[in-house]
Amino acid sequence: MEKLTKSDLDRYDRQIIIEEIGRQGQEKLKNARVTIVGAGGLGSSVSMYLVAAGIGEITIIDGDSVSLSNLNRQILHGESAIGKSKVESAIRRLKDINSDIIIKGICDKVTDDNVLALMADSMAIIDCLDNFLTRFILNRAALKLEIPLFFGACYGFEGRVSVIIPGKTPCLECLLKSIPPPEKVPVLGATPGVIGAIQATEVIKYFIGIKPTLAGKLLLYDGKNNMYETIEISRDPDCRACGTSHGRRNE
Amino acid sequence: MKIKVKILGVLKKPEGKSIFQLELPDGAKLTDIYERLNYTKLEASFVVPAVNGKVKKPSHTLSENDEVLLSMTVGGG
Ligand SMILES: [Zn+2]
Repeated sequence: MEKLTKSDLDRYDRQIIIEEIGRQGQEKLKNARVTIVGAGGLGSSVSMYLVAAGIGEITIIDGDSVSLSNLNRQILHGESAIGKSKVESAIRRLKDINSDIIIKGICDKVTDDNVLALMADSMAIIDCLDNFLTRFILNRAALKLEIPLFFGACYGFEGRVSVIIPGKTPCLECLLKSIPPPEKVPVLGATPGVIGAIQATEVIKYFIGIKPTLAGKLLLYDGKNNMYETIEISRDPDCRACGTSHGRRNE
Repeated sequence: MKIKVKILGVLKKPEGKSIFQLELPDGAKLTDIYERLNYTKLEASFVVPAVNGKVKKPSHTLSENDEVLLSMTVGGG
């Protein structure tokens, strides 16, 4: 277990004085290793907050490059990064926020074939993707590796967050049975800002030992009407990913 | 029986209303609400329905005074 340095105590002072965190909690964050999949809108918010909060090791994965139409929401990247890989751009920004932690980048797409190798060393997966097919790949990897998955998604003014803890909560495929066809998704930049910040909060709670409030639940956020609803998800015994009838896991 | 319905976000709403009551016959299912709302099969397949705060299957049978919350599956990032 890595201890806090003098500089850590200074850098994280404002969060160490939060009763629920303290030096012990900060030390837990320092010893956490997470993988953020996607360096877009959600990935921008999640990665900057987790890097700033002092998560010890962060790997960010994305196979795309930065384009002008990304900049309304992907605040990790600026005009100078257009045409460069998102991972390269992300690392530059994240290292500027915090050079005391380990930040790794992988410029690749997550697939069925590489997912387990990519996530094997991780203690949590944070889903900052823009498509369901890859989300389901992450979901199955999280179940297999028995590490939590922090799901986030956006559409226009709307967002969703859920925390999947294998063996304890339903999985993503218990909730989502059919998925909308791929389309150009409208997104207000501030929406992934809100949703990513909620995901980051749940990740931090998980590592400091507070039960993530959204474990087994789905947060529905509608920024247009400022509505927040939380609904409970049940495990589907016939779930294709975690259902007992498919021999993956048992209660 | 009376059912309270709330529709969140961009999901199709009758006359733009997001909160309303429906009168449904006893034994009605969530899918009967979709029919009342004129959701196509495709639209209905992306609805995440919750009854009294819990996600249910579309085939779930409703009871008097149930509160139904409908939202859409979203996947952008
Ligand atoms: Zn499942």
